[in-house]
Amino acid sequence: MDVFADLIYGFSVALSPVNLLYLAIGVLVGMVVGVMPGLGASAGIAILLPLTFSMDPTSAIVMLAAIYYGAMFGGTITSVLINTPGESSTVASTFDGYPLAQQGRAGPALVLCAVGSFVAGTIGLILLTVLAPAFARLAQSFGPSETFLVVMIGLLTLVVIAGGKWRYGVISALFGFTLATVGVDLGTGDQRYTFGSPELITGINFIPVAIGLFGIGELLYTLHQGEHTEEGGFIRVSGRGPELWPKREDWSESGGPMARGSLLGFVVGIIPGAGATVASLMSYSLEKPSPKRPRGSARARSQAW
Amino acid sequence: MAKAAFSGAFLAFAYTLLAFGLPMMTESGQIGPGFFPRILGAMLVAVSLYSVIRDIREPADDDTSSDHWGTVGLVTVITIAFVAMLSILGALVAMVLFMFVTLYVLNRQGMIANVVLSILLPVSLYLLFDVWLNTTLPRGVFALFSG
Repeated sequence: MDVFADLIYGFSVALSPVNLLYLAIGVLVGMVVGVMPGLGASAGIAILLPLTFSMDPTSAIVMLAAIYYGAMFGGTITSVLINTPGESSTVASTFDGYPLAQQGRAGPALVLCAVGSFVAGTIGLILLTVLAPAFARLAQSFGPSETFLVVMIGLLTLVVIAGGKWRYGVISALFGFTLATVGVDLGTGDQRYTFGSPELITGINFIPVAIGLFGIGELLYTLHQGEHTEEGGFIRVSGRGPELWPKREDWSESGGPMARGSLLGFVVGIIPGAGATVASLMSYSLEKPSPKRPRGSARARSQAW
Repeated sequence: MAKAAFSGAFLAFAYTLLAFGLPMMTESGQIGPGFFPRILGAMLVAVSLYSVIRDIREPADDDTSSDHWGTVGLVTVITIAFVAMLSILGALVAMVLFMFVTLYVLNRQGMIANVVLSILLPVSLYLLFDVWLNTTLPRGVFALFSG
């Protein structure tokens, strides 16, 4: 089995001290890039590509991959801490992560997200290495009707997320659709709702909507609640203390969601058209009925190709 | 009542959506640009109507009273002014002014910290995005700090 011999060789190269150093630097930089709204994983790699020109190619690829992983996680940091998703794929982390942070358990939430991301990424990678040809054939057989059905699955998860009063969820979904119709119609090339403005021809991008709804909305809500008049104290987080690490029952509850999320994320990521966003939302709706905190589910990091 | 107003707002929005002469239904047998907006608009009107009627029938108690509505309104106006000033004053000056005014409104006590923060943060953002990453931020009419 040549595959395994090559894999072992690859590991021996990747785990050399120099490459491990580049890995650490890449993950750190990637996390910083991911925290900034608008700069996602792809934009981060594109911007930081010139950094790698002077490096040995293997180390460059290690660093770029590390930046990608770090950026995917960086979006979760802002989702959990300030209820503002850094990327569309981290929206699901706001549902449970932010309430946890409000209870003072931001540390465990972030640790669980990080571990979940690592577990899902590793499982996805192993499955990809082993099952890639079979899934490639599956992906090739996808036509327009299958893609449409995948999109419909993603939309139907809205029903689960909407919760109690379904009419508000439907109104929100339809409002989202109408925002999406602004711009150029893909079928005919006509402009819709641009009102003669050249800036609106490309439509309304996701990041301004996310920052406006989540970021500025959260800011105004905080003002409305009067939290700006309260005394703020410094948060003390110690690497050894209970503020950072999840408790034992958190780990045992999260094991199932992490495993299920990884598999779901892998399958959805392989399917063309769906991506990390749909995967994380579907995994959230999968875990939602269970009464215990389904935090791990939001980290269904699909290898979204 | 607040929720009824919310739903009603979307009713009005949906009306505008339909009324704006969504260009074409179909042309030469293909789906035209008006196809989906009309469906969406019709569904939005229907659900909004239903929602408004339900909300009026079962009034939910929403306590939206607060002592701080003035501050909320003020910060909203300041944010709108900031966005309007972005292309006139340029990103750097507008950011500094915005941060200073907002911090002055919200945090009277630590004025020194306000000034330091409102200069430090925009300058570092400017250096990061405009100088290092070369993504041009809005320049402004007076073209200060251009280059």
